[in-house]
Amino acid sequence: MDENTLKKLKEKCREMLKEDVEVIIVYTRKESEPKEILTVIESPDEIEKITLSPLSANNPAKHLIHELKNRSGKIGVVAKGCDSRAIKQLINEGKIDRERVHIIGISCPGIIDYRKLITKFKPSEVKKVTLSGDTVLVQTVNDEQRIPLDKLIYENCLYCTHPTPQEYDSLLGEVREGRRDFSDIEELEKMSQEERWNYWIGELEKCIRCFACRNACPFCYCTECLVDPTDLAISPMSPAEEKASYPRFLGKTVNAQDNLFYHLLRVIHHAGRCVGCGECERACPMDIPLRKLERKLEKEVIEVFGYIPDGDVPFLARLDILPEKETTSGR
Amino acid sequence: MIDIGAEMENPYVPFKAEIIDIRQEVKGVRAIKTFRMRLVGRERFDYKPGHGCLVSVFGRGESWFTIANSPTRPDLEFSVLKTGKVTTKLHELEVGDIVGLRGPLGTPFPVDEWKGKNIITIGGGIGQTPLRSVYQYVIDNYDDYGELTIVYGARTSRDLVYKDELMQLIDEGYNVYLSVDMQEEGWEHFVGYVPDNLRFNVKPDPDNTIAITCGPPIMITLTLRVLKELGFKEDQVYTTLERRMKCGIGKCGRCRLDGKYVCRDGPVFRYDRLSSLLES
Amino acid sequence: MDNKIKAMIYDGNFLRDVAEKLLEKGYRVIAPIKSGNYFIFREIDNPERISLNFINTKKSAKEFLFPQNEGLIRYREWIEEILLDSKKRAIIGIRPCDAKAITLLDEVFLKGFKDPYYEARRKNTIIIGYACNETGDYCFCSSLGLSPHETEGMDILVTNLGDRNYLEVITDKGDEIIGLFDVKEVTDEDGKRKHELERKAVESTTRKIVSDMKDVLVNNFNSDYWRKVAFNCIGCGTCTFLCPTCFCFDMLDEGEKEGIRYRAWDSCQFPLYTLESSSHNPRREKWQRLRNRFYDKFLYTVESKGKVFCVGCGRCISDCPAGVDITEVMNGLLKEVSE
Repeated sequence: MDENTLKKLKEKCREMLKEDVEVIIVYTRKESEPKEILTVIESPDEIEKITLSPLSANNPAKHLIHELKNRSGKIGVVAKGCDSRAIKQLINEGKIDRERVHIIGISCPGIIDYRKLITKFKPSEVKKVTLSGDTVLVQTVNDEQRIPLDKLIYENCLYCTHPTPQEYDSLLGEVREGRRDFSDIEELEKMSQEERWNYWIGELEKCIRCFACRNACPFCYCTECLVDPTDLAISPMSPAEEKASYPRFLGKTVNAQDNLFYHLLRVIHHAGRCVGCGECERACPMDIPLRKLERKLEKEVIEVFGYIPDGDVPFLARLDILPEKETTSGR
Repeated sequence: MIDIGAEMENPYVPFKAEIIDIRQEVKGVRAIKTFRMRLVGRERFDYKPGHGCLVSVFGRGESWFTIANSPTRPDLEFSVLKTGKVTTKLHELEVGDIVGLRGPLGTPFPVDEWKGKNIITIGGGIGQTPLRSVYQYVIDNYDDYGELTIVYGARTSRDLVYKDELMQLIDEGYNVYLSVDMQEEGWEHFVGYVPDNLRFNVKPDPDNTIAITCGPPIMITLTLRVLKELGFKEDQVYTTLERRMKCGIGKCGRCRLDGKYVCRDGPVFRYDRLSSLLES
Repeated sequence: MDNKIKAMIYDGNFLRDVAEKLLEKGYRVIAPIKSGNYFIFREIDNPERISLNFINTKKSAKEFLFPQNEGLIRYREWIEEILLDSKKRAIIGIRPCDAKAITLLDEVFLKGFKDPYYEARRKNTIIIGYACNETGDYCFCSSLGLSPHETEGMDILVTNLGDRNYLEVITDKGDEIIGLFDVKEVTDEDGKRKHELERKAVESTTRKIVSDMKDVLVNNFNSDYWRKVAFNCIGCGTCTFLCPTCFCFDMLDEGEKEGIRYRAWDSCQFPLYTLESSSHNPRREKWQRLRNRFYDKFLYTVESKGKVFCVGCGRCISDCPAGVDITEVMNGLLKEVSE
């Protein structure tokens, strides 16, 4: 994520655009503040737009699916460890055609929590944020400050299991080891049932059911989601009785209990699938610790089923719910 | 001009209405029933053709229907196509059951402005519903209007609504042009699409005439084309729009088209006002 | 409503003291408190909890006049109860942008049909605002013609002059409340300080938006620009739910045999928003829904109500998970068109 890696990335992208790639999904700086967002570049004149820094937070997996649908050529994508894992999992689920994707893997030291950054700096005063070793260099209009990465890093990144992409076509950055650490979940587990209930009700009282978590998650791709109050008409030919009796799991009542129901319902569908990218928690405007729910589930899946979502076999296939697919098209 | 829902104290609270008659117009998968309703404990509110009501079934929700009968006729009639949650429940109801009505809502047809003019209604399928309110009104106020022409068609003769009534109007000598899309045994009227019937048989004269058309989007598009060819100007043509409606009183924002609320500024729209809209 | 605004000085922390007074008089007092990393409006019973150390609260104050869930009718076979709420409330410490937003909500709910639920709450709510002596990086109220010391929509506006408060009384309701306190005359020094603070706040605003976009919007409805802008958007409801002027709602019945008909905030960004029973959806694609948001705020409401439905609070920018920025989008459109 340092200046060096960025230079190599730009060269790589230039190469790719000349060869066989139609567009590349990369990070770029937002205009009015130092935040980074995803964008699509089509031509070599756009290479200078590319950025790569510890602010390159978003997961491009969902955007990749969208671009694959709307374009016919090969799509390049910059992917950190968790992003690459998401793409791999989506390939396993049949959502991405491996042949049509060129993954530029980036080994990631961890991402800065932008909300933490702007408690220390006024966004309009920050000119540049770069990484040097374990230190973040923040260049402002007045001076340059050095802050250790672990003071700004997302809590989620502390528990990263795959900082270095496992699925890629090119790899940049030094290889890092991940670690499996459930210590924070174990702390929660030590609480009594009543304490845990109160903790979660307290957190989920804040939820405004904006569905940012669901929409940001690469694995929430169902067009008919169970948690929408389903007045869904399916097609012009759908019989009225079918439309009338579609089950409604959740209305639009927004209170702690209904919010809990929504979140649990959503998270359960990620069993064995969640890759820990943290988009859910990052997207949440109300700062709800959604990763804790997902990681608790991850812990359960490992402890109870002995399953680690890494290989080519989806979790549901292990449970004999889905048939095991033909091994995905090579690597 | 009537203030919509003027008699409603709280525009979200429906009047109580009893179903006093149910007529099955169309059977089968796309069933249509016409309900005749009477308000309980109060006089029927005053309204004009084109006004609609939100029919409320507590526990299910509400659905918008244009009032299918003219205010010159008794009670309130609604023709309901079974298509979703609320309408499925309505189709299960029987005579004597209670529903809620919120109305009259929307902007009606400017029938007073049309006095002295010839009126032609062109309908397809269940789109005939708002048109019925218009032609009944014109028939009941016959001296106030010019010539009345009714053009109506559906896919098959079994899909025609108000069939008996329309046949009776033919017997009484009114200009009624019926059609079905495909050849059928025993069908004596035009075979083909409504816009074609309009173009080849009816050929209405645009002079001093108002045309009102309602039906499936494709029929409306083709009908508008034919009317243009015949010389009708955009300010002589009216139609009704449909959008998903919830509050019905111009607040919740759902039915908005370019800032105009279909439930409040429509659903009746004069065509020249529509063509300037960005979204359509 | 008073046409002339009366000004006076209060020696002390007016917002805290008025909260205490109103609590004594049986009002439900809603004020900002710190919750985790942000500030939020809550009903309080202890004025000491009030915290004013913020640029703006996470959520706007609209939920107290137009709740996220509001029961309309309780029913069984027929209507059992109409759920109007006329409790006496006071919203304390609201920023000028949010108060102005309330006047925009008034345009929707009190014009045409008077919405009885909104009216009941609005009539019985006192609004006491807190002027901005500094603006945040996401604020852009001044380029929409609003001031960080705007009084529109409030009963009383409080400006912190440091060791004393500068009060502006805008309405009769506000006047009644001031009557409960000892206030002093405004000196020249006070007036100068107040204007200085307002000027500094406006000048420190770095973010700007081009808002007179009517013609540009009308002529660029079908532009590819909107597809480009929508690349990042994830189609959630964050912008609409945090926005103080967004008012779209859904109506639902909860309970088949007995229950409540209620209304709930809805978002034009959700695909189900315009889905019809025939399965036709006039805004099927995400970019069409995103485009609608800008058109609604800067064109349609201007055409139908004469007002831009944006007050420059910047919440949609700071909290958008995907980096869609209303100021960048509108400024970018103008730039794109003039190239």
